[in-house]
Amino acid sequence: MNIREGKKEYLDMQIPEELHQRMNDVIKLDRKRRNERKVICMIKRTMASAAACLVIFAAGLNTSAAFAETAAGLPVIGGLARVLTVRSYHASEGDINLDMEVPAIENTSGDAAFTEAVNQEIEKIVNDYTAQAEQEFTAYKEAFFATGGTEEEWNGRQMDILVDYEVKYQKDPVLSLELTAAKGWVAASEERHYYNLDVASGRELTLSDVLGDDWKNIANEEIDRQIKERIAADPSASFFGYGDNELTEAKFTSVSEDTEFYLNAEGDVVIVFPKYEIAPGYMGILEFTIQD
Amino acid sequence: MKDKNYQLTVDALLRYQDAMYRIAMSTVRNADDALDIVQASALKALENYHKLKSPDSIRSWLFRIVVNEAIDHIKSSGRELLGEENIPESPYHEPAYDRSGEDVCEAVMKLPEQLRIPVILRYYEELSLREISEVTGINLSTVKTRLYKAHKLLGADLQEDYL
Repeated sequence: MNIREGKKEYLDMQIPEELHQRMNDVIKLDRKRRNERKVICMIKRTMASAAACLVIFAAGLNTSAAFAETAAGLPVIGGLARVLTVRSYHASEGDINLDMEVPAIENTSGDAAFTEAVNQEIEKIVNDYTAQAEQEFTAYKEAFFATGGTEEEWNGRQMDILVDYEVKYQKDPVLSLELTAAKGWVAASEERHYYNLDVASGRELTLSDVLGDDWKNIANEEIDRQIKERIAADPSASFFGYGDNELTEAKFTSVSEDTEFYLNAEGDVVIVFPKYEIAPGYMGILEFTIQD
Repeated sequence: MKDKNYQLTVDALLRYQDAMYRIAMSTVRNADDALDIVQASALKALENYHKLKSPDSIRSWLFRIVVNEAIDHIKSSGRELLGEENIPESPYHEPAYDRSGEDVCEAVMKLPEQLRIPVILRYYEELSLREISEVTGINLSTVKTRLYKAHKLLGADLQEDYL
């Protein structure tokens, strides 16, 4: 006999109809997920500077009509800062669809120059992101046709660029803002920025400010513990250098001054690792909440 | 060109999904499990498309993910992969000369996994020895040894192109 004699039977194996449906679902889901982008901005103030600001706020109410008007528009917070939409538009420019809600922080007390600098940075991130996405799309389209692609194959594909924001947490004196920037076409990439700001004194908070002098050990021990916990709870979870993952050179060892974080609705520190930093890409962006 | 690779991966998933299923099914011998394995493999491929080194090797790359998922599935059920040392005394004693294609396919499916996977990749999915080595993560000479042993076990004629 010849082993190949079994080939026809092998290839005739019955393929469940469900297979193609499931494959389509996986691809669709993956595309959708790639289009969801989140960028988070955080603003936090200390109690001491909040008290100082509240005094100024009270004075301001009595002396400035414009200031009173501003304060009346504040949803919850007492008057330290609020988030406004500075640009809102939905437009199509050729093949590119723009859906933009760009936020800015209005500082009614404390160091206005500082929040102004943050606003400029948000503005710059949004502009750079949009410009780069448009450039990528144009270059891709040029390459597509330059390499013999046809209009039919191009099939009217478009790029969606989305910028949006959401106030995540608002409890005097803390304000937490989430900024979302997304692009979607044949593929997409994700970008998140975090700001942990002391609005009144005009500086960015560090992990040391929010976790104390022993911040490195506190964060490292908790992250290591949670990684092990997640691997134990989910057999498909994988982190570089843990369990049977052999990529030890990329294993998580320690947080640093550059490690990204934000504060969640409970005020807990949440440490964030970008995709691919401490785990395979399918694990996505990873967050670790460090409880007090 | 990361974005190009993403589209390639999507195209390859659509093109090779039946083959992915056949390989998974041949390895785990259960349709529901095979579906789950293909689904998990597709997700992994889409997550890791940027790791695809060369678009030419996309088929081997996808099959490798499937084989790894299938092996993980077997291991998670608490057993090791069956190798040549797990072959019962004389399982293939029927006369080898008058087997139908169906009998041959069935006999192949009864081989221990470590021999079965190279056999179906070589003779049914028509991969090269090098590709089988990439897919299974075993070296070239071990691939050859296993194919040879599979022939012996099945009482199959060694063809000139058996390798």
